Amino acid sequence: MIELERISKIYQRGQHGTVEALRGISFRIAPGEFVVVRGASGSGKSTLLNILGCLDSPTAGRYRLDHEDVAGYSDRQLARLRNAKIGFIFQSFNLLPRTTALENVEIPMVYADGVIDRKRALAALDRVGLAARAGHFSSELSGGEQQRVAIARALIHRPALILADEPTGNLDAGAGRDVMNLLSGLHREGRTILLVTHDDNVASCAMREILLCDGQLVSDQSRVANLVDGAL
Amino acid sequence: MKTRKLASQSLRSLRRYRLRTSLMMLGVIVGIASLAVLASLGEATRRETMQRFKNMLGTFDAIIVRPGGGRTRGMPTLVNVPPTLRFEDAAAIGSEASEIKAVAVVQNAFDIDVKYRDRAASPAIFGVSPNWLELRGEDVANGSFLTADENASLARVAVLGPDVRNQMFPGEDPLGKTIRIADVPFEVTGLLKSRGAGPAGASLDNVILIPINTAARRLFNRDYLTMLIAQVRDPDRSNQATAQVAALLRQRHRIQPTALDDFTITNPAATVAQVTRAGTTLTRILTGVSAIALLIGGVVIMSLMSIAVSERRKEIGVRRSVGARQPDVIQQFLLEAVFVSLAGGITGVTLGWGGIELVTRIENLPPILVWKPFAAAIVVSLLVGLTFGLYPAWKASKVDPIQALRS
Repeated sequence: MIELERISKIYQRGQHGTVEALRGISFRIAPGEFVVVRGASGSGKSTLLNILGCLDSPTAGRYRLDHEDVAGYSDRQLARLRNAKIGFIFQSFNLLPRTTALENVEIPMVYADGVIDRKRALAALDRVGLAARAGHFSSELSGGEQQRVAIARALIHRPALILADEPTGNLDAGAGRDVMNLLSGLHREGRTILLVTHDDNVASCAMREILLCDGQLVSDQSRVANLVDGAL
Repeated sequence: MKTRKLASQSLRSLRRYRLRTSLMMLGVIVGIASLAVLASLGEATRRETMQRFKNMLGTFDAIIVRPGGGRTRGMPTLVNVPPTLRFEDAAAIGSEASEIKAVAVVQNAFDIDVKYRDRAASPAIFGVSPNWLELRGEDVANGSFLTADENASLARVAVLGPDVRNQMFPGEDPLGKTIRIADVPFEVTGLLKSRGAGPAGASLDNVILIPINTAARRLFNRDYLTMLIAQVRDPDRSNQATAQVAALLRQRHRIQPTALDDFTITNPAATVAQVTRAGTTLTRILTGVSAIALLIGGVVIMSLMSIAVSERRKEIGVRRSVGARQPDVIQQFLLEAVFVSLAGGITGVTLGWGGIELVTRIENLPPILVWKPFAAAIVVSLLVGLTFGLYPAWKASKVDPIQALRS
């Protein structure tokens, strides 16, 4: 389903200096897995996330997403993949300001081929428990609610992969727990989730942990996911 | 389909940032309103000029030849024109100039006393050839026009313009009555329809027409013309007709190649074209001002949109992350600029339209609204949006989604 093969990413810094953000990373993620990626600042987590999310292209290596070899894809093709197969969840929610919850959820539909299907957008909001707040502007929602709207937006096209970047980083404990319960629930429904975090409690929800250090994969362990709500 | 979705996104953003949107519209509104009003006034002036020529000539497909090379002060009359344009010239133009279909000749004078019983007036007296009315493609209002027989027999018959009729025959039928023109008795045989104002703005209705031969031999005792109206064969070739008549007259008057004409030809079509092209200095200045207003409006759109792009980097990042391609981003921002500018244009046109309507009502002027300049103004506003939206839209498409989402 998702296959990384000797992925490396080199950034040009200044005239001669280069930074090797990723050095030959390889792993696979099977459908329905819940993977957490951990590592210190500068370990290459964000770069990995950007490549997995088709926002960035690797300097070398192969990336197969849902049977498509992404390497060498054009801006247009990458945009289509992001639209159809990736659902992003950000630390800072990234809802559009002065826009209702429902309109935020509908945005991916703007860039797809079909029509804007209001019913499906409402169903996605319902899935995150916010159908009643569909007409509220994002500024009128709490942080936890905003993140749940963002999750609904990520779900709207039934993506092959949900990418979450510190989704609870800006939330208080209660709201963070709600969001993690939601993600665990999505995992139980069979969705594939890759989550980047520093937080041990958050990481404990995952069934597999990938540890990055200095652009390299240093450990890749499976474990029994802690799906008990009380653990957080 | 996608464009429609993007357009609705653009409209939403414009509604979200109402203050910014109205500021962006302001310059375009001012520019377009003044542009539309000016263009409309220009077009109205052009039409008015054309109408006045038409009032005088009855047809637009004619050129006017007057004796004298320079401009005559005031209306040319038998008193102030040189005796250079002859009856024979008119006959020659009629028979030799291939571009000319028909020629009417005119002798006119002012300040001649006209009396009927105890009433007196001094309208313009025009001796005209019998085909004068035919050239206009008109008919008399009452009675009959001067005939070839009357002209040949130097008949003392007169056709009155509406002003003369109203002044000298209030509540009375003038037909068959005898008036005295410079103490010569004339029988009123016809009444003209109203012609309105001429190119100089004066009424064309304060006239008495008499046969030209009668005028030349019985009244004025002059054998030269004050004016000659030559109807052109093909309206699109009025310039060629003008040149042909000029060449013929120069030859007949034996004018040396280096010498100036001793006649003046007015080509109404060319005159109107000139009026339209040049306009007055004031119109040109005002057009410049509205062009500058539009330019400022465009620059305001460009700078406010550029600022908006910086403020909306995150939005752009989000849109890119959920599948927007660079062209989609360009399209969205370009559409925003075009919508703003178009809305400004439509508002400006509405204001301009209303302004003209108001002024014509208050000043009691004839309606001068012309729709074409307003349509053109809308197109101009669209182009302003496209032009000045291009840079911000391009800038928006260059936002790096990774950077934007991290910030």
